[in-house]
Amino acid sequence: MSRLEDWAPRIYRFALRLTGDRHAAEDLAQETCLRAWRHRQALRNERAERVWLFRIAVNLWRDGIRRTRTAQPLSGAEPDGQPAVEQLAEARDEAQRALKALDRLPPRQREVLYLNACEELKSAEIADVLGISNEAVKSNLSLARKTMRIQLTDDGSIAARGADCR
Amino acid sequence: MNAHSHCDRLDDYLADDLPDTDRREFANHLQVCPECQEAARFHESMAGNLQSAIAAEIPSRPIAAGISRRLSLQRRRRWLAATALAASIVGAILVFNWRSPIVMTPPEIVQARVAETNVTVSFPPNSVLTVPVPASEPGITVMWVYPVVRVAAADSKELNQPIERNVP
Repeated sequence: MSRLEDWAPRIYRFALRLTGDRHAAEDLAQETCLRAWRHRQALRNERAERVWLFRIAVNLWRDGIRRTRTAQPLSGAEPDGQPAVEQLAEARDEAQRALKALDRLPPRQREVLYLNACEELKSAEIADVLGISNEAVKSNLSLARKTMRIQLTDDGSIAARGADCR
Repeated sequence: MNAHSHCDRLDDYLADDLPDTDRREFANHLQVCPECQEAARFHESMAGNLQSAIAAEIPSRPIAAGISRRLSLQRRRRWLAATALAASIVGAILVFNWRSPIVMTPPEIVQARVAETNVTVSFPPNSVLTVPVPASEPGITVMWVYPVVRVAAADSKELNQPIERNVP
């Protein structure tokens, strides 16, 4: 097993998509790393490490939701502490818009699209991480792409209009 | 396979889920299909934007340091629990021994004591038996006095028999 420190930032980012909150994501990432460390003997295939770690994060997150019953849909939620969009350069602004659009997606679509676009996992791997069928992954991915396209096109046209007005 | 069925495979192509032959076939289709080209361009641009946006997301506190701290805390707790368990076991053994001391007596001493306590002696009737016993202070002699009395018995034969008493 490679060093957990190397994985921690990626687990944190995925946890941020799951929780929508920086502190909760930090706790979840830490808990994921701890559990991975305790059960490191269970990892037979080093190549499946990323899928295994993300699956632990998903399971911990779901267990937490079941325990606390405070699960909230994250649509529209914005990770706190994000830098203001106005202060970002144009390229970064576009990236932030994409990230905001991602965070506005329904939870399942957000998770599937994140794992596909950011972690470049295949459908079967995503299905393994989230514990859903391959077909569910594909349909959610297709829906997520369509929604993102609509949102980003709308945002882009609004931004362009706003720029013209100034 | 017609052009429309190729377009249906766009999601599989983007998810990298197509077998090699199908992937090559779709790549050929992509050269000539403007809709799929635009969709693929959008996906790549979106994925690039998302990857650059999430790269800036770093935790406010170092996760690895927190993990090391928690692991060492867990180890310390485990060590303390094991020490406490061992101490309580030793304590329980000590208390048990203090309340019920086990004295091992050699078998030959036991035999001698049995022989001593079961001594049978005969005395004439209406006499007194005196036995000196060790005293706690020097110069003092303690005597145990046992009166020997005749016991009336229904059987006349027993009247002339000596009385048997066990020396305590």
